[in-house]
Amino acid sequence: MSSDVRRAVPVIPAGVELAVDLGGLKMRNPVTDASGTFGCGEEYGDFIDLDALGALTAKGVSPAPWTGNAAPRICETPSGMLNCIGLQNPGMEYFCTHKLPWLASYGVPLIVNVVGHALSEYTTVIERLERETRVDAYEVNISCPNVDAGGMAMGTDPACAAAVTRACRALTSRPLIVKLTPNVTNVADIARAVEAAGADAVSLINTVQGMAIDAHRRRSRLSRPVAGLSGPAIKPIALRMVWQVSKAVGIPLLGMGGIVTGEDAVEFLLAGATAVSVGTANFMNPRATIDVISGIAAFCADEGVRDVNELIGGVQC
Amino acid sequence: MDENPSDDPYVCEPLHGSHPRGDGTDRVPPALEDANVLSNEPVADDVWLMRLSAPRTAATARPGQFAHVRLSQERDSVLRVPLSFFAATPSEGTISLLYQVLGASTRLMSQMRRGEACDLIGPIGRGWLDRRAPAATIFEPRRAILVAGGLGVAPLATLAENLAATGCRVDVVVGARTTSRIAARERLETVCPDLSIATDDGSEGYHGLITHLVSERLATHVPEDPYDYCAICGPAPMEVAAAHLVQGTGIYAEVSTERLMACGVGACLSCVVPTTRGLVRSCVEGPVFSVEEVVWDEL
Repeated sequence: MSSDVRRAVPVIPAGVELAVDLGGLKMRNPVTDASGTFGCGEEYGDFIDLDALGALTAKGVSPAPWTGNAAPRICETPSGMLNCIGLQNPGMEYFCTHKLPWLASYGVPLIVNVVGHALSEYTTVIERLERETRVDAYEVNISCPNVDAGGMAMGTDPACAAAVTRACRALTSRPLIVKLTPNVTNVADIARAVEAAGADAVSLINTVQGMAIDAHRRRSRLSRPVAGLSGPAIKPIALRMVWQVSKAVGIPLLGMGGIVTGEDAVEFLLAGATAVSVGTANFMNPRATIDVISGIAAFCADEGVRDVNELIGGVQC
Repeated sequence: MDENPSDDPYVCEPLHGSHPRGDGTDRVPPALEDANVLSNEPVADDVWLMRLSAPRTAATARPGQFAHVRLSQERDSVLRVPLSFFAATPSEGTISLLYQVLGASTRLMSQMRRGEACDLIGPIGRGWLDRRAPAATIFEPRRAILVAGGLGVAPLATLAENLAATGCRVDVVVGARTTSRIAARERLETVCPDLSIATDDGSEGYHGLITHLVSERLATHVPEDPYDYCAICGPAPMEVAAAHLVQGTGIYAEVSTERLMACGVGACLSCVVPTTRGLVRSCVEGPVFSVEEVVWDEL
């Protein structure tokens, strides 16, 4: 029995190369956290060495503070969970004056997730963050299913997704990752549109729309009837979409959806992802990101894979 | 960095865990700890008590704080279970958790046997009287009323004992569905031989709501020996009603809120509570709040 208060670091066998390039973002290994599950890293800094991550992805930042939705905001479902947090965040000024200075004590590459109700809100955030040297890349969330006036429409229409991408692209030379929603008929169409509009990479998948009902009370279990499903339950959907998008575009992919172990992550790499995000698994295990890095490295060592890049797109169908 | 939490209306800084490399306060940051089940048995109807070996958590836990327990390493169970400390014994390295078998997670918990392993994050959050903790303003209640509805007794039992040990006179008001559901009666009676009991079915004590007894107690307490502290924990409707009774009486009152929670460390914003400072995280800013700072109409 142990009482272990160390900040966990990954175990990487000698001779295994884990570094990847995600659309110009240099990552020492292919693992980051999924935006919204990890804050800006502070809370998990008690459990892991944040500098061991391939990148740190910050929770969505909007121009002004967003209060998010009423409670209850989560519920557990078979092998997963639903959430309707509603992108609660304190806004870009607070992020720049409070979160970025804290992150200055770490060297880990920083991806900032950007959210908005309208095209101009995305560009407002990016213009502000362009003045901050601590920011290394953007992940533009055009896919959050939770905000009535926001992401959903943009992420489900190729022309609209392209317009947001183009507007952000015009403002920055930093790596621009566009995060796609799975709640569409053909995700490859959206991916092609944002690639043509200048995205350096796409990340997928955001949560899958779902619902939970309390039969006895005959009510929704959440404050919003339609919420986002995450966790191991959505992994097969995520793998399928990563594989489809990898066939449709030439830019690298950041894959996510239900990753808990290193082997889960390897499956995403084989499906065509260059890097992966760990989300809901952080709630199961606050060291999940580190365990996934160690798991990928162990897989490579066991399978004789010298460089993790050899795995990308390697699935035989 | 700015150490002042009050300038952020939506995401308050936790008192621990937000500091670079985890230092900064007298409180011990939560850690992940492997735990072993020492005993696990029903103590009152479907209310169970699990005793665990978890030395680090036991050594640092305060009344009102909680552990976030992972019952199964299987991936079909994604959420931990947040449970208040019913007891913590540093000398033995043990903690005790009181729980009611309600759903799949607690049913699984009731099936765990001596020697089985689990892990927990703890100790988490602000406990009772933590808000008045800075050394210059230590508040030592002289006469307290504790209001425990159902499983709300879990975080209050140790508080009752600690208050009594400082010479505080403690009245305890307990509500339960039925007499057999009243847990921890012996511990409470050691501190307060004259427990006030309300049951929903009238099987013991007052037949009706606990708030009736609270209201009686507050009405009969005398100016020369007034209550100066009230601690409330129970189902949300009971907490709302009890908070309304105590507000405006001049008694310093605190409430332990129960929210659905995912990360338990302050990152996911699942467990927010409406307060005069905006929506704040129950896990790290609570679970104990002062009654005055909760916006009860929005809860």
